[in-house]
Order: sequence, then C-alpha cells, then structure tokens
Amino acid sequence: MKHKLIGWKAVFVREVRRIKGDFNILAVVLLAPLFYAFFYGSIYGLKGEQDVPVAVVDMDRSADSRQFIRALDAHKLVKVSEQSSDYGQAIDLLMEMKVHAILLIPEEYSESIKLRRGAYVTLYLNTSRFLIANDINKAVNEVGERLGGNLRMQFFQQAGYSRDQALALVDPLRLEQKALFNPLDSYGDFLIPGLLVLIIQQTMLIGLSESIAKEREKKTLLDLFRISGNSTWATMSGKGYFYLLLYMAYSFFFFVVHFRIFAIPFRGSVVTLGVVTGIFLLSVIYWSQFISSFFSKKIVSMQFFVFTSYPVFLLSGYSWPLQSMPVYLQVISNCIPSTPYLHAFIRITQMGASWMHIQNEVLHLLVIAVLGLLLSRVRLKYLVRQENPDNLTGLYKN
Amino acid sequence: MLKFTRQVFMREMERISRRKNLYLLMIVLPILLFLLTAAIYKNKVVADLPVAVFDADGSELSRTMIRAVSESRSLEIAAYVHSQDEIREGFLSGRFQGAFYFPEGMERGVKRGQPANVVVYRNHFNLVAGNLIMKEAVTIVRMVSGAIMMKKLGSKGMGPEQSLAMANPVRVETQSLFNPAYNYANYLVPGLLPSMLQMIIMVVAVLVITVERSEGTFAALMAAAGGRPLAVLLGKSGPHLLMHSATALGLIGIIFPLFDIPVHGSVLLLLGLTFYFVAAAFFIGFMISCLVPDVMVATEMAVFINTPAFIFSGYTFPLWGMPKFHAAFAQIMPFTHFLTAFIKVYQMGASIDHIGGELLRLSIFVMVSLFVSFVWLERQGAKWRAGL
Repeated sequence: MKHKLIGWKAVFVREVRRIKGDFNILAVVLLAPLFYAFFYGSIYGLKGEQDVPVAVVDMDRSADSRQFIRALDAHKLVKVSEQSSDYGQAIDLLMEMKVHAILLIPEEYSESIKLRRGAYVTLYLNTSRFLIANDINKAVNEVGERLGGNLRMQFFQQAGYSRDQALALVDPLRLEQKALFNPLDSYGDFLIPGLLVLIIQQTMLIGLSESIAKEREKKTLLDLFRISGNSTWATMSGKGYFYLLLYMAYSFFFFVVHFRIFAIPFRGSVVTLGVVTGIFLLSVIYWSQFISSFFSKKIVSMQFFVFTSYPVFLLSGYSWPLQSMPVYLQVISNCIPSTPYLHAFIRITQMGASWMHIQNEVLHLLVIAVLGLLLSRVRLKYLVRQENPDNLTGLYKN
Repeated sequence: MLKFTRQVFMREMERISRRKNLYLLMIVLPILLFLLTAAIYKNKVVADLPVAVFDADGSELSRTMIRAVSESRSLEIAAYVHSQDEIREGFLSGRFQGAFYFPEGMERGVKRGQPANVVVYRNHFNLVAGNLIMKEAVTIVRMVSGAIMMKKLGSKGMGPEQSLAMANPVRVETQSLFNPAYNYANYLVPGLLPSMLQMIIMVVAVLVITVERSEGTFAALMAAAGGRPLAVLLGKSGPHLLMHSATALGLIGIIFPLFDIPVHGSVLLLLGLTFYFVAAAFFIGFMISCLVPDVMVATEMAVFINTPAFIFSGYTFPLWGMPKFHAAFAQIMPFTHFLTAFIKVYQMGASIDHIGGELLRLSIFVMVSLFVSFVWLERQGAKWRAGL
C-alpha cells in the first residue's frame, strides 16, 4: 500500500509539473473554465428580453384600437416600434427582422366591441425564433385577455351584478400557477447552471485528454508507469486526481460564488452536491483517460473533443426532453456522465432534493464511473505492454 | 500565375489526402455531427410529458378537465396522486414534469358563481417542457371556462352567438408565420449545423499555413507558388473551399430533406449564401493561420472563436436581451450575420433584397481576412525571393 502511495504521489507531482510547463493544457484547465463561466454566464445577466419590436397596422383608427396599442406598448415584453396603415410595408419590416410580429387591427374592431358581437385582432407572428415569438404571443394575448375581461365586467355590471359577482362571472375558472420550489422563470436562470456543468465537464475532458495524448505522442507512457511503481491504480489516479481536486474547487466556486453573482438560488445540501459532483468528476476522468488513449497526438485529441461539446449538451436532456429523442440516442445519452449528473444537479440545487430523491442518478453515475475505470485500466495495461520494447513479464503489480 | 496556383492547389490536395486526420475532420466528422444533431430532434415536437393529476374535487367538471389532459398529445398522465406532498415527491425524484390539481369545491364554486381555480405545477428547469405544460393548461382552462360562461349567459337568455362573443370579447387570432407547428427540428437543426460547420472549417483552416511553418515546409510552399502570394492564397484555399462547399451542399441537399426540413426561399440563394459563409469562415481561419505560428495556439484560437458562436448568434436568446458588451461581441462573429440571413432565406422565404445588410457585413470579414493574409504572404514572398 505504501509503495502504491509513493507511486501515486510521484505521478501526481509529475502531472502538476507537466501542466505547469504546457501552456495549452494550462489554458484549457486553468483559464478556460473561469473565463467561459463568467463570459457565458453574463450573457444571460439580464435574465430575459424586453421591448421586442412589433409593428401595428391599425385599420380602425378608433379610440378602442388606440387603447389596445397603448396597452401593448406598455407591456414590458413588447415595444410598438412601427405604426402603419400599410400591411405591405409592415411585411417588409418583418422580412428584414426589424420587427418580429405584425398586429393587424381590422376596420370593424371598434364597431364590433360596441355592438357586442366579438372583436378580433390578428397577430402575424414570426415563429422562426421561438423565445421571441412566445414572448410576443404572451404579451398580445395578455393584453387581449385584460381588455376582454374589462368589457365582460362592464357587461355584467350593466346587467345588474355587483362588482364581486361580476368578477366571478368574468372568469368562472382561473388557472393558478403554483411554485413548489420558487421555480426559476428566466432564460438565464435556466441555462446558466447547465452551462456551468458543461464547462466543467468539457474543459476537464479536453485538458486531461490532451495530457494523455501527449504521453503517447512523446512516448512517455512507459516512463509514467515506471514512476508510479508499475501500478495501474497509481498511474491512473495520480494523473487523474489532480484534475479531480482542481475541478472540485471549480465546482465549489461556480455553485457557490457564481450562483450568488448571477442571483441563481441554491436550495440543496452542499455536502450532497459535493459527493455527487465527486462521482461525476471521477466518471469524466476515467472516460477521458480511456477515450483519449486512442489518440496519439495532442492536437488531434483536442480537435476531436472540442466537437463533443454541443452534442453532449443537446443529448443531456437539459433543453430537449430525453423521452422525446429516439431510443438509440437515449441509450447514448445515458452513457455520458453529464446526463445523470445534470438531472441530479438541478434537483439538488433548485428543488433541494435529498439523497433519497437522486438514488437512481447516483447509481447511474457510479456504473458509468466503474465501467470507465475498468476500461481505462485494461487500455492502460495494453498500451504499456505495446510501448515496452522488451515486453517485460511481471511488469504489472496491479 | 495560373501555373503556380495549380502547383500549390495540387500540392495541397496531395497533403490533404496524406493526412488521415484532415480528411476525417473535413469529411467524416461533419457527416457524423450533422446526423447525430438532426436525429436528436427527429420527433420534431415534444410529446407525452409525464404529469400527475390530483383530483380533490372528484366532480364532473374535474373529470372533464382530466379527460382533456389525457387527450393532449403533449401530456401523459403518469400518476393519479392524492396529496400535494405526493406531487412534491414526484418532482423531487424526477417522475413528473408537471401536475394538475383540482381543489375540493371547485365545481361547487363555479355553480355558485364564486371564482374557482385550477392549479398547475410545472417544471421550470426545462423551459421546453415547462412552457408546453403551461400552454396546454391555459388551452384547457380557457376552453372549459369559456364553455361555463357561455352556459351561464345562455341561461340569462343570450343566444349562442352573443354568448360566444361575450365569452371572448377581444379575440387574438394568431397566425404563426414560417414554422406554424413549432417544429423544433425546423427551428434548431438549421441553426446548430452551420455553427458546427463553421467550427470544422476554422479548426482546419487555422492549420493551413501554421502546419507548413511548424513542419518546416513553408519554403517548399513558396517555391511551388514561385513566391507569389496570390498563388499561395488561391492554391491553398481552393481544395478546402471545394471540400467545405461540398459539405454545405450535403447539409442543404441531403440532411435537410432527410429530416424533412423545408427550405421556403430560393435554394440557389441559400446555397450561394452558405458558400459565401464557408469562404468567410475559411478566410478568417486562414488569416489566423498566417499570424499564429503555433499549431496548438492557433487551434485554441479557433475553438475560442467558435464555441460561443451559436449562443452569441441571437438565435435562441436575442441580442437585445444580452448586456451591451456581449451584443457588441456578437457583431464581430461572422456566424451572427450569416445565421440571420440563413433564417430569413430558408425559414421566411426572403429574397436577396432582404439580406443585403448581412451580406455586406459578411463581406467585411472576407475582405479584412483576405487583405491581412495577402499582406502577410506578400512579405513572406519578398523574404523568400530575397533568399534565392
């Protein structure tokens, strides 16, 4: 055991020295996580959008239509940037994306209200970008609902109902949205935690992979193995645990400091999150060691792994629900450590989930980690045997 | 001139064919990435989101609404629960994405003319799922509420048409232009794939000159070009531009039809725009390749420029929602301008008149990159000629 620990320490110190002397790995594991975390996080600093430009074509030109326009312009999500009576001109603005919707108020709008035959407005919505379209749709419908509600109130009160009775008749059944966990409701609050996890996983993956590929490129794997006292455990963990320590520190920094800076609530237990994060990082380390061992050049490993960032995030089910993906992609997704981790992470940090609630994800992560460990161990033994010119027998003690 | 350009062109073709890594990056990787990303959104819309139902009212009204929930394509009733604690536990363990709660006395309240509520709990941690559950809940409650109001107005002697008008005195008729079904494949795939294409182009392009320098073959390149900067520029770029343009062609001609992504505008215009974008991305990479001698540093620069390109394009989160600095940064990314024009053409059916501004901005990237690369190559050419 003592022998292994000495080997472990030697590999650990060697890794620190190697990183110190390699600007590329240093940039990936020291600069990139901090830079990306703040740079990406601050994109969503304003949390959501406001004043989306909308054109109004007012064919009615009445007090009622002007009331609708004023109410719409006062809505925080929308800004009436253009008013015209020419629909063609408004369409041109839409095609140039100077406005993102056209609200058409027809000629008979005011008359329909007065005659109580139901008025309508038409919203031509550019649905090529969903967030913008949803916000405009929400704003216009809210304005329509509110003005409609006022008209119903007037009607019921004129029909002799009291204000309270009229209020109940205006909306016999209401929808109440209840927050079980003071839920997040901005795009920024939704995306930033996911991005932080992705930054942690991907920078560690790329940095460690570059380090492993460099060993192969410089043909130093055998040297590394000997330094470890010919122990696969000491080789793998000595090399990987530097990253474990570094990224545990990043995780703590991101989930405590970063969350506070960007006003993202943290409702769970730091200990629970710490343990799950540890298992997650270990699984990323073992899989990085295994996959990167197939690359014999540092640059090639980087070129390969940078392309995994988008697919890994999209496959995680964080933005597009997992159950809506084809089954074979669900299987692939479940082999990636960030998938179960993100599911557990969000429930711990945002809902305050305990161990009991995240058992499946922890088990899932453990399976991925153990499988990664076994595969990278077998692979390391194979590579050392390949690099060993004398094909020494009895080289392995573990 | 033509002879030298041809020499450099043939030399570059030969170099690409010798490097497995390069053709894996340029040919195999885009195919894999495009197919994988498009397949994620193959089902196009979200269906069967697991929701819980807590019917504390047990009335005809609540059963009507439960039927509406179960008939929704987007929702699937995963469990009937008997307390709010069960809902809470279901959320914590990830079994439910949403829940409907019909409180006791709901129907009685409605009959007595007292306001009654339906409670919806939704998962805010997945915006797609959360918004969809809310949309379905609003539709169901509005439909039932409208029916109740019409019945009440009918009982006051109002005809069906008048009742309908009073139930909804100001109707908003929404005409969703361009992607009316809110199809996620049509929305996200055409945005994501070109961003991956840009990354591939730049990761390869930043090495075009850098590798010649790091491997000590730059003099041989200059010799093949006769020291002419234009011959290097054209001869080196030619094979890459052809291969990346073929990938762009495959993206629009194979991937889009394969995943039923329609092109509403002119396909020729879309192809022309994409080829121009390929050139813009390549020449930016080429410029970096001239200026940065280290292979790894050049690659890291390409990664730095490309990783945030999609997020900064304003496609999923608009530029006006970003802080001013980030919105300004987005403007110096060619992808932002390309994607705006790309959406206009493929999704909105826009003509070339509508994308003039974006083409102009893309041209600035092309011109600046070409100018810097040319000046740098001219200097190198002069040095090479002086050394003869």
